Amino acid sequence: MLDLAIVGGGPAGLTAGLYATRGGLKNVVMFEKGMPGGQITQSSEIENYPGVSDVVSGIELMEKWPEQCQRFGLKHEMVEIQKISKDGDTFLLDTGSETVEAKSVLVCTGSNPRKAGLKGEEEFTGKGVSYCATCDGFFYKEKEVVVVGGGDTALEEALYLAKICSKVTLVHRRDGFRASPATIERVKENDKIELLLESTVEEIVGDKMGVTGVKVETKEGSVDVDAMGIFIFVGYDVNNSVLKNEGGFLCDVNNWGEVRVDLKMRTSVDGLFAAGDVREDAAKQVVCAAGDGATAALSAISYVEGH
Amino acid sequence: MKIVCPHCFQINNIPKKESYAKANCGKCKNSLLQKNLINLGEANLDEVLVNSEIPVIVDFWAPWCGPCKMMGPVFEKVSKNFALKALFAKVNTENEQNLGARFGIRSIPTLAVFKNGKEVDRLSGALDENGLKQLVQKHL
Ligand SMILES: Cc1cc2nc3c(=O)[nH]c(=O)nc-3n(C[C@H](O)[C@H](O)[C@H](O)COP(=O)(O)OP(=O)(O)OC[C@H]3O[C@@H](n4cnc5c(N)ncnc54)[C@H](O)[C@@H]3O)c2cc1C
Ligand SMILES: [Zn+2]
Repeated sequence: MLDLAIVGGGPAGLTAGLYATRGGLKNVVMFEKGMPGGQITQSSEIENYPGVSDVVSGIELMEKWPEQCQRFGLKHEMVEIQKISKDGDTFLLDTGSETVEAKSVLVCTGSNPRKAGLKGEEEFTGKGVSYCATCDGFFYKEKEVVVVGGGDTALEEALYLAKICSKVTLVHRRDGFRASPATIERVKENDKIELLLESTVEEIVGDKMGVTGVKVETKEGSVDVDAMGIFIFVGYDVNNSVLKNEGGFLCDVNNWGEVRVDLKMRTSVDGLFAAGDVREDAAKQVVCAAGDGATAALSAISYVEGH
Repeated sequence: MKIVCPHCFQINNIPKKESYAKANCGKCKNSLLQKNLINLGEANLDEVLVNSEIPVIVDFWAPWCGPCKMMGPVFEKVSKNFALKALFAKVNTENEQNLGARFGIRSIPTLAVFKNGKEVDRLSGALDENGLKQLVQKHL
């Protein structure tokens, strides 16, 4: 039986693994369906992780984490957990092919870019519709693209795309941005970025090869914008499906499906913890996810030692 | 059945069986069961695609792509389950820009399935182990 099972290997899961093993727990496994690192590896730049003062890509930031975090015995299993349930005092983790038992569980499954629900979005995903500028910007060198969204991520990725593409049209439904003032300033000053504010994308249009443009509803009426790519950054949905059991969630979640925790990252179920983007009121930042992971690990240690 | 050796790219003709205890390449003598992941570029892609009578699963990726990196070890792990059933191949779209353009790649990772040289399926976005196995299974 595992002392602690960690589900998810982003900043929260990795940090938790480091603290749990270094803090004395022996049998700790981090279940991460792919290579550890988490969603920040999709980011072109991160400049707000203290101590890393060079502006680095998300991949660069995360490169050294697994080695350090596994130094004290944390094991990584490349498995996607299907379901977490509890039987008496024991947690059961369904891997799809077997059931793993654990004394305590920490959920750090993070979040995923939200779909905007636009007409044509599904049809053209992978054929011009993208949620990752770092991954796909390269295929739009000197081409025109559209960015949808008005938060920090949308603006930062628009700036990144402006370095590669000939033109970036930023479509945002409000007239102001919800982003850091410095980033907003840089966007406004960039002459490759055209702003369409108080506007919404009505439809993504294209042909057999993929996207050719978008129809945008503006205050002045409908306009057609030529674009080969449309990059969507409209927020995140938390990955909570592992907590779904017959008759609802294993523990309390809020209206958005985010896991309720206290200041020690304890959920409503004894021995079950949550950390990072998946918890309610998360700041959705790497440094916060890492901090949560550490807090949760310390709580898990005292829980396991008390049992 | 024609099989391209993942070690030396020699075309081997081997009998079609449910399972194989042993199979070695006629040229380089290496086991056809041990390695099942190759890198493809403009120089060898067509040759491999037309000379494989088993499906070829191609992963279009690039070094700067987080989801591609995440899926890398999954792709390699799953490849081992399908030796002589489906060939797994990777195309680095940074180095192989002509191939990226030829196949209209606009998003990575993109997985494409080829049968007898023809593309029969395509999916974009990273897959986990089960998802990838299902995709391959569908085309066996
Ligand atoms: C484009 C972009 C730009 C960003 N920019 C910044 C920035 O500049 N600064 C900043 O601080 N933050 C930034 N963020 C936010 C930051 O990436 C997240 O807040 C942080 O990664 C959250 O960490 P986490 O560990 O909670 O979850 P995640 O990083 O989402 O990691 C969760 C992990 O769990 C795995 N997983 C999920 N479900 C399962 C399962 N069932 N079984 C096994 N494994 C599973 C996933 O594969 C994933 O690796 C950005 C995010 C994006 C997408
Ligand atoms: Zn050979």
